[in-house]
Amino acid sequence: MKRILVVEDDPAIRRLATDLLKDEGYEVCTAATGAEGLDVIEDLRPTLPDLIVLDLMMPVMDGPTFHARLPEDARRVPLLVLSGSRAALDTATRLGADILVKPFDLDDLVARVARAVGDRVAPVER
Amino acid sequence: MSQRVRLMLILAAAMLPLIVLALGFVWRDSQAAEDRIAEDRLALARAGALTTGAFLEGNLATLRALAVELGDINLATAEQHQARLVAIVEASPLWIGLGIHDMEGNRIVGANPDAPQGVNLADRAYFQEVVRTGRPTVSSAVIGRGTGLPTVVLAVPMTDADGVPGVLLAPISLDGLSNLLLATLAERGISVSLVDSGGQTIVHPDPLRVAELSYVGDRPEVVAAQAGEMDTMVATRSGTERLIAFAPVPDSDWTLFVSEPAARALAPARELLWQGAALLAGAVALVMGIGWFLGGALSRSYLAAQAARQDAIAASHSAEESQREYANLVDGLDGVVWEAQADDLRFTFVSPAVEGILGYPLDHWLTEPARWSDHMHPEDQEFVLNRCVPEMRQGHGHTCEYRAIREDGQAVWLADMIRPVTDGQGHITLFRGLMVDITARRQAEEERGRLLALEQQARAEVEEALRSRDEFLSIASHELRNPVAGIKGTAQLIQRLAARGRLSTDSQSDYVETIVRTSDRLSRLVEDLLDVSRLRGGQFTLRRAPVDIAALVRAATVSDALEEREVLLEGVDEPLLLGADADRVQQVLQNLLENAAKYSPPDTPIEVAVRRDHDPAAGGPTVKISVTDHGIGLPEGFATDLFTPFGRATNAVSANIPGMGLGLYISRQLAEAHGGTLTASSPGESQGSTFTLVLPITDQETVAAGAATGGVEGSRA
Repeated sequence: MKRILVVEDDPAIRRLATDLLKDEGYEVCTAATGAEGLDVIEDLRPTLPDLIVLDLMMPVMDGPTFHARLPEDARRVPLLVLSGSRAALDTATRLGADILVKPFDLDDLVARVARAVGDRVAPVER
Repeated sequence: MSQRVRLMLILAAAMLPLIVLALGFVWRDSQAAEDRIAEDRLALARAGALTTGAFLEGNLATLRALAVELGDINLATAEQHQARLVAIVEASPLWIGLGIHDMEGNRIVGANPDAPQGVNLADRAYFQEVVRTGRPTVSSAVIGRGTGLPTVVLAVPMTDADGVPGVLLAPISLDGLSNLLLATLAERGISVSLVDSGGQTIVHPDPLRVAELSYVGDRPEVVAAQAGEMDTMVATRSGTERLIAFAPVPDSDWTLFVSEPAARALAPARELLWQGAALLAGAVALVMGIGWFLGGALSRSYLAAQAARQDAIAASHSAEESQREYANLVDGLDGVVWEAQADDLRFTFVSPAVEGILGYPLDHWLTEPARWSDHMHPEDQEFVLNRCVPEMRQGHGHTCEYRAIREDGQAVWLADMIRPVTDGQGHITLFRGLMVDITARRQAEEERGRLLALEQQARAEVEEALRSRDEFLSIASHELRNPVAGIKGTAQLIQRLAARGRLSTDSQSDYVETIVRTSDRLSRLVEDLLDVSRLRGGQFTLRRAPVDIAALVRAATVSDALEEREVLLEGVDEPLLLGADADRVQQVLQNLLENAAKYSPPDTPIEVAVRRDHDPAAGGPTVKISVTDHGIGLPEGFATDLFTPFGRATNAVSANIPGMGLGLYISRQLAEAHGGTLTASSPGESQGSTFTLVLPITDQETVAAGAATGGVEGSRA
């Protein structure tokens, strides 16, 4: 089962992403800030998540800072950026990430995630 | 007039008599030469005349001898002697004929057989003369019949054997004489002519004139010759001057003339004249040339001497003049020229311009023990004494800008260009300088700097405002997108799960509640953003009125958020009036109370205290309302960041407590709009926090006035 880390400060979106991706057959763990996200990654060791879904604009530690502080190996994990601003496109490109602008369609999120983790077909429904 | 020209004039004046004298000599020589030439020509004429005379004399002598010889014949039978006469004529080529006539003129016998018969010569002048005088006679010339040449007849008396007188005649051609005379002189280019007593030309280089026996008796030289007045003359003939000399032929009335063009004849004399003149001119030129050269040299040395003398005079003048000019120059400068001793910096010279710039009289600097540094602006003394003076003493010329104090106390900016003066050993003995008043320039620079700073500040403010607005819009956009994404996504999730039959009743109600909560957050966010927008845009007016602050606090504690919380109130029992916008103050109080409830555990109390206070900084009595909770507290250093737009404490975020970070920003803006303050304090994280609102208590008049003039305020429920 592919594991996805969602780093998002907005509780409604965090909940939404979690429930959606779980329903799509992924294992989902969440973090409300960048700092929490780093902790979660260490908790998951020895494995790494297959994908990090990251909000760019967060208090305390924003998305780029979070990415910069990732351990070397975790920095190779595919990244899907969620952002409230189209201006974040540059940042996402710099991070080598795919991007989805809020508000988004659930189908879009599912498709991006599937592509990022390398699933050719949607995972088997539970 | 140059010295050289003067010298030349002197020379010319001195030479003039000499030149005249020399010209006189030359002239005299030339005249003498002409006279010699004339005499020479006269000699020629005389020689010709003598020759002619000799020719006639000889022929007459021969004829006389023949007359003696023929005296043996009888004139009566003279015809018998014709052969004898013919033989004599043949022997003498000059004689054309020979004849014997009786005293009546009748020819007795003649050698010329062609002569006409019966010729009588009694009417001829020469025949009459020879009969009368009994002496040999020469006739005038005639053109010889048969010969066509001038011919004269020689006639001598004779006596025959019987004592009968008769005349022996012999016509002779002048051809021979002509040849003799012409041949002799022709080669010298001299023309010879012989004129007989009748004025006829009998010998002449031009045969035609001879053949016609041209009459020249009226010519001046012929007239003069017959008068015997002179023997040479210059006459003009056919436009050409000719030198003519003449001499009478002896024993006849003939005259012999020699003539030639005067130009040629006198050429040697005139040449002499020209040569003399040329020689003289050469000599004069030479003298003048030497004079010119000497004059030039003299003139140069004279001029040099004169120039030197004038230089000396000028130098003595210009020394004074230049001193005067320098003094004028220095006095007229728009700056102070000065000189000071190197050791004590005492002035030895200060130009009068100092009075205009610094006010003090000139003597102030020279006679009084005035120290320059005492007149400096106090703020610049350190700079001048520690920077400029050491630089001067190092021997570097430099410019120092500083302020001095005028006599009237005004500061004057000076640019002092200082140059050290050293003696032979390189020691600095003096300083010299030029001080220029640059106050206007400095003031202009300062003004420009001030304007530049103002402009920069204004631009920075505008840029900051723009940057801040952009940032606000960016954050606001993000903050709005989050709840919209949450609402939209959650609604889609409900549909999606329902379609797949995986939507439980519990989760459905959870999702709906999320949507309601998020919508509520969205609407409050929009509300807050509008408030912020108004506050920032300045479209914000307080509606002040007398307000009982105690009542407001009591009212604020009654809200959904505080429904199950213990709120401890203090100081709200008695009315506390102040001039304020009741709605806005209520908004602030609600925000503080909701935050307190949100960031503290439900079982902890919230304490609200209202106290009168006196804050000197606020300028009078105040009311202080503090809201204290026992919640998560504040991390160190966050007490101010909280009040910026979207500013939230880190621990609030990590505690997953929702919030947008606008409430405290708005609240502080409202407090400050009332002339009050809003501050936060906390002993530390998890130790609770206290938010304190301070509002000034204005007197009743102000409150009333505020109520009367309060403006229109934007909507706020």
